[in-house]
Amino acid sequence: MSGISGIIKGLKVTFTHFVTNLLFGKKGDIVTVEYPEEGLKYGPNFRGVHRLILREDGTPRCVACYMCQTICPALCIKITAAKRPGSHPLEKMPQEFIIDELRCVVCGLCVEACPEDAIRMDSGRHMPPSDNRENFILNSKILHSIKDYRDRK
Amino acid sequence: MILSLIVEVIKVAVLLAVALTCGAVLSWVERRMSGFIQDRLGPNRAKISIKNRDITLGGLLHPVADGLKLLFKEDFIPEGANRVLFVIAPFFAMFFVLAGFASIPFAESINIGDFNLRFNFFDLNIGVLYLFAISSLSIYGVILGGYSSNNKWGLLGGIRGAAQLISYETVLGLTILSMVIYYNTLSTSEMLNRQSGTIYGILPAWGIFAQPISFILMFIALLAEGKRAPFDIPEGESEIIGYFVEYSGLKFAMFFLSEFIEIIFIGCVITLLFLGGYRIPYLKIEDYALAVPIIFFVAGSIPVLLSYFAIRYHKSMSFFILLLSFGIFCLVIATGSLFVSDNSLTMEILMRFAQILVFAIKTGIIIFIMFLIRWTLPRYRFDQLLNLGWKKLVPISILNVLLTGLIIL
Repeated sequence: MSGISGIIKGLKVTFTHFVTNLLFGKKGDIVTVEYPEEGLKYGPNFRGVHRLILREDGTPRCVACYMCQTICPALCIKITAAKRPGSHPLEKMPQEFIIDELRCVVCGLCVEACPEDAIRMDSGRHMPPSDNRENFILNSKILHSIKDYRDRK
Repeated sequence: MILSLIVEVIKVAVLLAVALTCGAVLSWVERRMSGFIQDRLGPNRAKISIKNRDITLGGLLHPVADGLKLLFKEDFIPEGANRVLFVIAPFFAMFFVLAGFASIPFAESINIGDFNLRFNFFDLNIGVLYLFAISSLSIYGVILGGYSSNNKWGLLGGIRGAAQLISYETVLGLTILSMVIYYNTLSTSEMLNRQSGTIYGILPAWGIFAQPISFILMFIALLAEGKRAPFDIPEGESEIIGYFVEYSGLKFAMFFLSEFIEIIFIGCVITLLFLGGYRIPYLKIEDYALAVPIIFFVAGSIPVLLSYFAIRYHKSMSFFILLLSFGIFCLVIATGSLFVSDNSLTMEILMRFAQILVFAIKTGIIIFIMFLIRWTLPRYRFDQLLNLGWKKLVPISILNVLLTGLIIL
């Protein structure tokens, strides 16, 4: 007898869920996120695409110290150093700063290693998919243009 | 003679088309429904783009996409399989399920001029026996499919199916016996006649109210017969993939479809024996003028009501239009039938459509309950299944036969 009452209780649960979701869809209990059209917002600590920060005078913060390139376990960062132009107090800056996002394992060690806080992963988005491998290799121009997650709509 | 032959052929074609379409649609209904039960959305993305507008019909195109996919898959026959039996098994499964529909009356027969149009294929005076004989033959598809494919899991599925069918056949037979004793007839249309009027003063004289124990027993036995959860151990996706492991392409589609058609068949049989078939409760079959508008109004207002939710909460324009057009179509017929005079041929034809609608609604409710059970209850273990069958259901059904006999005496 307890078995039958259990069955009826179970049927009641499934029936309620069915009717709620049939009538009210996502206003009901449905938790599905229909991904390409909508997405979940990543939290503030999410390690997204790298970005490089500029100094207040508009030059790169990066001093080409190779800390990030050294610590990177996936060997995805490649820095070419150059002398800073003019009479800048700092000595070096990256001539080219290349990150291969296909190799990156998103460990965040580069961010922790950076002494100048020049590289961050707070863009709040993952690398957008592409059918071309070239698009995953980001140079310093692109990396500088990526915005903070707070600036994204 | 030739006219009746043509009519029979048309009837077969219509039945085939309706059964196959409904089977395919049911596969979508079940997936969508299971989604809602589990707080998911279910399949809703297959689409056709016309002029940059996506038409999804709420996912109704998924069966089409599935069918196309299976059509173009490799038709694989495993090494060491018995090729003849392997090829023939899906046809067995399909044929016996479809043949079962032959003696189910979907509506009253109608006289158009001199021609008498019946809504079943033959009115056997042993119609019920035919129904169950055919439906129990459908196990041959399962056994042959599992046995011939030279696969241990397939064979296990087939053997499980055979054992399960034999156990529940006993329950089914005994329950039919009590129903036959109660109705005092073996003919399906006679059984429907016995279910008109009321019993106990207020309830419609349906089998479910007169024979509640038989109803529960037969429902369980038919669930097992149709290999539905919680009795789906011949299939058992999580343990053995089932008797159709080795099947691919259209042969698999036939097994898959035959399962859904068998669900419709079970719904029809229960409607026929226990829910009064095409009869409308509290309305005499002769009250056309009252019955037709009511049925079409009910059948039309429900889709119209649901279409509001489809557009408001599901945001599916195409499905909204589908529901709304069907609902409005029914409502128009309902209003139109108010102006059609009684006893005219138009009214008679409308009444037949209304009866088919009633039959379909009742069958739909049974199918809904079967789906709900499937997505609620876990699968029985094999020994639990046989224990339930032999130690509980068989004694109860024997007592039920005795009880029915006593009451009838």
